[in-house]
Formats: sequence, C-alpha cells, structure tokens
Amino acid sequence: MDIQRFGVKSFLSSPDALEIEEMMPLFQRWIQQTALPGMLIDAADYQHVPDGPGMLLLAHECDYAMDMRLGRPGMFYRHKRDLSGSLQEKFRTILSRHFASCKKLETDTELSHGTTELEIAVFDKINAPNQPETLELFKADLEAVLNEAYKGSSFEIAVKEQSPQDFFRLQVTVQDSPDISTLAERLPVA
Amino acid sequence: MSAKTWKEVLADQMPEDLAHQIDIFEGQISLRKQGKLDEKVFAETRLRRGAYGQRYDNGQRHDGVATRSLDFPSNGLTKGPETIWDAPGMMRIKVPYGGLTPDQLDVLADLAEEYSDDIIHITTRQDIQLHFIHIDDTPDLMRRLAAVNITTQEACGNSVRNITGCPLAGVCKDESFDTTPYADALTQYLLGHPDIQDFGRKFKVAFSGCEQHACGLVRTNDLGYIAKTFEENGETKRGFDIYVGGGLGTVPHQAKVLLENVPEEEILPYAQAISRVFARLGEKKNRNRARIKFLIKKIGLEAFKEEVFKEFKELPHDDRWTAYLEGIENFVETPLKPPSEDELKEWPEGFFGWHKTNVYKQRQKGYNVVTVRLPLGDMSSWQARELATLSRKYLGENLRTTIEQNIVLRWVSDADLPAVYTELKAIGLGLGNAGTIVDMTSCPGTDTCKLGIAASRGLTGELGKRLEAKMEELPESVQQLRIKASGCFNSCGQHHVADIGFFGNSRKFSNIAVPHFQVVLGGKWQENGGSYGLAAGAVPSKLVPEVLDTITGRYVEEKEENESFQDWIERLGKKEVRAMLKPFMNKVPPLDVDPSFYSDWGDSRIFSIGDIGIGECAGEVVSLFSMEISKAESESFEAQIALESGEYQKANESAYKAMLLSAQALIRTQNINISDDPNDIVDQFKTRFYDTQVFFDKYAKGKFANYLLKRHKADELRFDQDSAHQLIEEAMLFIEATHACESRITATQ
Repeated sequence: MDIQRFGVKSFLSSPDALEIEEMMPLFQRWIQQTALPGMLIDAADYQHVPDGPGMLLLAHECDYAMDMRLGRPGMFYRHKRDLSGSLQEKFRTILSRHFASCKKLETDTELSHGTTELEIAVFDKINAPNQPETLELFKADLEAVLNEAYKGSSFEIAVKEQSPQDFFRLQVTVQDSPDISTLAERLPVA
Repeated sequence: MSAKTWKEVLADQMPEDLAHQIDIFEGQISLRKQGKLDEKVFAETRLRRGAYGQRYDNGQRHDGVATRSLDFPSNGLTKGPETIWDAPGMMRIKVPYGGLTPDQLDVLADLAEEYSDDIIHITTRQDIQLHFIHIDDTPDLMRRLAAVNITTQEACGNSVRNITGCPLAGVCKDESFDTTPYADALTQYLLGHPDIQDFGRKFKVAFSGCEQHACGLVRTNDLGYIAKTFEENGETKRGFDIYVGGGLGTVPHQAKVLLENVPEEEILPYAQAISRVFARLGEKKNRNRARIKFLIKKIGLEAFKEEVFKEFKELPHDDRWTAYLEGIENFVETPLKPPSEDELKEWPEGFFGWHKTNVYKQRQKGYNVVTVRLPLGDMSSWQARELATLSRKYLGENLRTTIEQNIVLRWVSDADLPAVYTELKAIGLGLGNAGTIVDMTSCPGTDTCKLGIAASRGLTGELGKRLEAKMEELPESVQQLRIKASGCFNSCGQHHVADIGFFGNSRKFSNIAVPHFQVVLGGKWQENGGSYGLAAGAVPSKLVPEVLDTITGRYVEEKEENESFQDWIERLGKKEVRAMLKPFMNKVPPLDVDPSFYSDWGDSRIFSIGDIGIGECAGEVVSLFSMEISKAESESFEAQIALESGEYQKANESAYKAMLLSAQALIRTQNINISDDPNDIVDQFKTRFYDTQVFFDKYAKGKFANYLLKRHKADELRFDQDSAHQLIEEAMLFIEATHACESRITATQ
C-alpha cells in the first residue's frame, strides 16, 4: 500500500494577527530563496474563498499554505508525490517539513503557532477510508514519530468526526508541547 | 488491507466503452513515457481528454528577480512541445449545459482536495477546472468522474467544446421551451463523432431559450440555437433559429442567422452538416484564422449555407437524430419538495437584500432559482460538499453552473428560501448581489494561463473588494453594470460583451514592462451577447480602480433618463470616450517613485511578460490519421499488457482490434464515413488498399495485409500464449505497414 498524499496542519496562536494578503509577498520571497523543502513553483491567492485554502505555496511534490479552513488559520503542509520509505519514514518526512515551514513563518513574521494541536489528513479514499478502523493502519508508525517530536509530552490521537464522504483526518492533542523551533529541531528535514 | 486502485474499485461503475477509453489513454501515457508516442500526438490526445497545460510548464518562471529554471524530475520527458511532463497542468471537466448533481459535486470536492489545490473553479463555458494537476493522476481522475457520469472528453483541443445553455432552461418565464433535452442530445450525439475529429480549431456551441436575454450568449458562439415555436399546418411546432460564425477571441464576430425555424428533428443533422463543412473547408495551417467565423467571412454566408445544404442532403441517416424526441414535450425536472407560495412573514438578517438579487421566481408557482455567487468562480472542496448536502435536503439534483461562473439551485420552494439562505451563509456561499457590478467574470489570466499577460483575477479581486465596500452607496444604474476581465486579448473572460471590460496587455516605460489593461466599453450582454464593446485605450493596471470610478461617475452624471450604458457610450462617441481615459494613459511614475505600478494585482513580483508561453488552445493541428492510428497503437499496447497478465483471449482480441483500428485510420483518409463494423472495415480495406496493392510493401508484398484478413476470417482461433504473442507481433507489423502506406500516399499528393 503506497499512500502518497498526506496533510498536516498547525494552528496560529493569535489568528487575529494574520493579514492574509501579506502571505503572497512572503511566499514569493520564499520561492526566490528556495526557503523550504521541495521544488517550489508558484504562489496562489484564494483569500476570496471563505474558510478556504487561503494562500498557497505550490511545489512539485508538495504544497504549503496559510490555510483558512473552517475559520482556523495555520500553516498546512500537503504532500502529493514521490514520498518514499516506510510509513514511519513518510510521517517523519511530512512532519519535519511541516514544522520547518511553521518555523520559517515564525522567523520571518510576527506570527506563531500553538503546538498543542495538530491535524493530520490522509488523502487516499480507497486505501485509507474515513472509518475508525483506518487508525490501526497508521497509529503505531505515527506514534513513533510523534514520540520523537514530543519527547516526554503526552499526546492523544483521535479520529476527527467528519462525514463518511470526507477524507480520513486525525486530531493530535498534546499536553505541555514544546515550541515550533524545538519540534523542528527534533525532526529535522532530511 | 491490500492496496486497491481506482481502476479496480470502479470497474463496474461506468460504461464499458468509457472505461476502455480511459484505459487506452493510460496506455498512451505509458507509451509516451517509453518514447513510443510522438509528443504532438500525445499533446492532442490529452487535450481531447481535457488535460491542459498551465503556466510555467515549459520549466521556466520569472520569480520577480530573474527567470529561473524549474528543475522538474522529468529527465527530458515531455507531454507536448515545450511542455515538461511533471509540470502541473489543468483538468477541464465538461458540464453540459451546466447540469450538476450533488453526487457529482461530492466527487469534484474529493478530486479538488486530493489532486488539485482544493479549489473547484467554474469557467465562462460552464465547465469546471481543477488546477495544478499532475498528468499521471489524470486517468484516475477521469475514472472517478466517469463513475458519476462526467466526461472530460473533448473538453479541449480541436473539438466540440462544452455545449452551454441557459441556467434557467425549463424554469424561465420567458423561454419558448426548455432547451435542456436538446442541448443534452446534441452533446451526446457529437461526443466522439467521426465528423468532428478533423477540425482545424475548437468549436463552441450554445443553446438559448429566448432571444432577448443573455443567458446562452448564442451570438458569441461558433454554432448557436435559439428556441422558437412556429406554426406549420395549423400546428405549433418546436424549432430553432440556427446561428453560425460567432466568436470572441482577438477579433470578435457576431454570429449570423444561418437558418430560421428549423424543426427540432433537424437540429442534430444540421450540426453534423455544419461540422462536415468546417472539417472540409476550414483553415488548418494558419491557427489564427482557423475558427469557423473566418471560413464564413472568406466564402460568404450564402456559399457556406449552400455547402451545408449539400452535406445535409448526403448525410447517411442516423436514428439518433430523432430518437431522443419521443416524449420530449413531457421532459421536466423533478423537484424534491412540493411548492409553497406562503408569503414570508419573517426572514433572517440580510435575507431581504440577498433575495432581491439572488432569487428568481420560476414560472412554476411556488418555486425559485437561487444564485450562489462565487467570487472569481471559486469554491473550496469543503463548500462543495456542504452545498451537495444542502442540495439533497432542499432541491435534489437540480443544480447548474452558469457562464457568469456561479451556481444556481433550481426548484427551491418559497417556504425553504430563508433556511436555504441561512445554510448558504453558514458555508460562506450566501453572498448577495448576483448579476450586479460586483459579480464580475474573469478568466484565470496570469494566475495559471500560459497566454495571460496581466492578472485578470487579481484585478477583479481588487475591484470586487472595493465595490463590495461601497455597494450600498452606488446608484442603481451603476449597480446593474457588468464587468468582465480577460488576462489577454483572447477574451476567455468575455470582456467584449461587458458594459465595462478589460483585457490584459503590457506597455514599457523606461524600458521596463508595466502591466496594463485595455478598457473595452459598451458591450451588450443582453440579446444573447447582442453587440461588442469598443476598445477605448490601455491604462496601467494599478489605475484601473480610478478609471472605473471615473467612467461610472460620468455615466451617472450624464446619462439621460433610462439611457443604458451602451447607449451612453455610443452617444459619447469614440473621441470623447478616449478623451475620458487619456488622463490615465501613459501615466506611470518611475520605478523608484512608485514601484507598485511595476507589479500586478495580487502578485508581488516585479511584472514580466517572460512567462508567457505557447497556448494549447492555439496549438498544433495533428492530422486525423495520426490521431486515429494512435488509438491502434494504444490497443496494441493493451494486447501486450493482457499477454503479460496471461489473459490470452483478451490479448488476441485486442491485437485484432488494433489491426482493425489501423485499417480504419487508413480508410478514413479516403472515406470519413467508415463505420466501426469489422466486416465493413475489412471489406473497404480489401477494396481500397489490398486489391489495388496500394498497401503492398515492395518486398513483403501483401504479407502484412494478410495478417488482418486471416485473423478476420477467424478460422481455428486458439487462445494460448504462443498464438497471442504471434498475433501481437503481426498486429505491430500491420500498424507499421499502415504508417508506411499512408506516408507513400501523402508523398504522392
């Protein structure tokens, strides 16, 4: 089973501080600087779509976004292709890239993310249908990687309640979580 | 849990021939990757399946500082001329006459979130577009769409594009009759039809239920049908006026009436006859003059009509011309809920204003059409799913996309309107002011289009924000104006039929490119795109909001009572219109004084025209023979796959089919009407190419031709590995011999 498409989202600690239109020049600069992992291509502005994908930074194998879904802005990482290795290695890749993008945002702006909550999605309906049993496919490998990241902090993984038509989404809730910089350090981008 | 594929999961959820076609396309992807399929042929193949290119797919992008190379891991593999394999593309999805169901919305939502950027975009032809799609994902995308009755076939390329129709068809108070079943019948009839495979350019068709409203924009299409009833022998009959030769593009043309009062039973054969004339006489070398409007201009409407009549007389009869008409007068959509005409006694906040602009009372008492206004034609996958749920609750399957890039919900009962409004608002789809100045149309422009010069979406996004903020203060006469923007002169944003239109261009100041928009004024949206606007002058992109204020301000001041914007522009005259824009033209401050002029709306990069590429809407013409024989090659590939899997009978049948397709491709160069019947194909092959020895190879003589003749006889068929393998080899040799034969014939012409 070769699942390639995953999503990870963290949430801004002060969403009111976000000026979404400022993400466009920021993302364009990141493209110039090759600031994030992946073959960065372009930026796309969807701020006119309420609670939508917000501002996107598109790459060949992944996308980054200041995502506005369900009214909760935060950096979102979506992996699309060329993801290799075991399931554990895949989780390590996507989480490390996600934390790297959050850290880059915090370095370049006044924005910061809360780290007590993480949302993980699997965009593969036939191999990861949105039902509770799907959790068993991922739990052990995900826990292993989360243990590396959250070392010592307790966390819980739960299936997000969504309609059966939706993709499989998980909610990770963390007690006493370290900050983004620490998380990025503990899971460095390979 | 073992890995499954969409091919396996959806195997029995779509028509077999459609599933097979998608398999063939997937095979063509493999062939292309192996270098066994020419890039131009592959490009036309994927275009005819709706897989389009996007900006930067030539592997270069100006990042605001310099043009950089995008190092896709494609290792030189291309999906068309100068189009890198791994570069993101666009999938165009046909929605005939805009008809959508909640199930289809759900699948579109999944596809947008899984393969695209989470956005469903509605186009000015009622299509759906998904952007940033990888070509490798397109077969599964097509399968998932096919499972809910959606095709991408012939969405792009030199083919009949999505047939558009009034979103109010069937519920409109002013229509002659419901054009929906006619638009549907023509869509099904022309899809994959042999007579539309040899066009030199795209072909756009529209249906309208009346003459006076805009909805179908018939006059801007290559072929248009306006519904009419007429008396014949004391009986009221249904029919259409047929229009031909319209088109926007760089030089817009108004369609002309070809025929009036055409009875309903003749609209399909007339479409076929017109297609044949276009295929036969249309320009094929000069892409800029290849639309049907140029053919009609060249030979004149009367001569064109004569050609159509000639073809019409010679058409072989097809039962499908009239089969769909049985019971058509009883065609009606089924509302989900009973009507109600209760007077609304209370309503939620904002409802009254929304109702005024977004609700149309259907001719069926107690029902309404609700317009869901989508800024820039976009909605998210989440919104799409919620809209699907709402539709199932209140209206059933009755949704349509519109050419104004919105969605309409039909058959909403009076009693349900407040609840529908509340629920739409909750999902961010409750915007009012549909059909007003804030409800702008825009093509993708420089966001994703290779031909885009300036940021049409950025511009309309900015104008939308500003106008929305002051909407209530704007006079009614301004609120009713229509704004449309295109990223370049190709008019995909339909700027020619707007009151105030813009199309992107570029001007240089101190040798630096600055984004501009040409202002086009006084187009007529009504009367099916009744007339085209006047290009008045190019202004810097960053001054367009001021230009708009100036134009609308003067209109309000100067208009006579009930004077329309078009009439005011005409009264003003070209000279005065230009004088109105003059203060804004050539008014670009130096870069160090105001750098904002040197980047475009919604794009912080320094503006460049370096990213403009070759548009695939004006790409190559690939010969009909090349397209047809590529199907044979794909079928041969399928045979090899079947052989590898141990499916020997399937391998045998596919190899045989590959030879039939190959022969058919050759026959079609002489007889466009060749059927799919194997007996007919072999008979004609024998007569035209075997008995004449035209097919014979200099050394092998009739050997390769005999492979087909022998297999067709089907004496002593064996389905085992050896015989399947042999037949596949023979099929490949037959295909090579067909190529050689066609080359010899072409060389002597």
